[in-house]
Amino acid sequence: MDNWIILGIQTTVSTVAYALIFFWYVQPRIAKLPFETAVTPMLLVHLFRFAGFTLLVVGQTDPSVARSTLEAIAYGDMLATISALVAVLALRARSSFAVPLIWLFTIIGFADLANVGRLALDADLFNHYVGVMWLVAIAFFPVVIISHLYIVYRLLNKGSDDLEMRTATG
Amino acid sequence: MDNWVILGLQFTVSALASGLIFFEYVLPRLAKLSFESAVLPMLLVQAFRFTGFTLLVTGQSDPAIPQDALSQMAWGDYASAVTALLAAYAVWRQPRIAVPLIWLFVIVCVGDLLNVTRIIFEIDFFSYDIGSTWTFLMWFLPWVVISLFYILYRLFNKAPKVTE
Repeated sequence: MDNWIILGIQTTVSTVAYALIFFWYVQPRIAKLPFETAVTPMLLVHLFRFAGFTLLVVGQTDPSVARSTLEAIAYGDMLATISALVAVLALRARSSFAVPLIWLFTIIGFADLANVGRLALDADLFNHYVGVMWLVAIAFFPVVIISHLYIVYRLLNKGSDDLEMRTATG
Repeated sequence: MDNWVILGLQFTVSALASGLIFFEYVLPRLAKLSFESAVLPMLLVQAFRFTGFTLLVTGQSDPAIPQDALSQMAWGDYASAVTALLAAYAVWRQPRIAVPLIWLFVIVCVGDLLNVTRIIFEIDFFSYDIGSTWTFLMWFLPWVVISLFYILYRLFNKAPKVTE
């Protein structure tokens, strides 16, 4: 069986499992919370995207995969991690920049995901040895997608107005 | 980029993220709990150190790594996991011997961490392929350190924090 098919089967089941957990246990709790309290844990999930940097570790990936491909994926993930960190710190500090920074993180995060998808297909990445990144792909990637979508949902169905009002009034 | 630099970057962000989660969500709950209730989940975190035994699995680490070094790291982690489990059981069912067993765990755990650090530098451990142990290091090690420090903190400050 082709590695992509295995990955597809695994990530499909993983995504369904995480979605059930999210809709049954997480969403009912955070739906009642204000924007700041609900979005903070979702941003914290993205701090663990530094895992993508493992692709650059000697021995963790097939040396025949182009270094430029691995670097583009690794640095994209690290950039998403750092933008999530800046956004979560701004949110905790109730900065007036918090909402724009969350939007910036969202743009960087989705751009990185799109770029990773393109690079992985171009390089046929998952038909090469990718070490522990396989585990990251099947166990962590669905959580990244779900939390990203929930952050966008809360940005569009604010409650962040509350935050903007509170930061404006000090 | 050198494996050490990558690990340094990943561990820094991981420690920061785990620290934020601990101080934001875990500590406020633990602080209000009795010594036993607060220490138990932290000991259970340490019970997952059996993962260090993966180093001995054929194919999971570079065969060029000295077997003695791998054995010392694997068995040290396993001893920490077992003593943590014993301490957790005592906290749950035998409170009279809980504190001495927690101290025993702390001694074994700190001894293991010091020994592992010494070995890592001696054999330039991270320049080898260490398979899935890399995941353990970047995601789990910060929680090992955080939970160890919190256990130590509560050993010296047994009473819960009373909130106004």
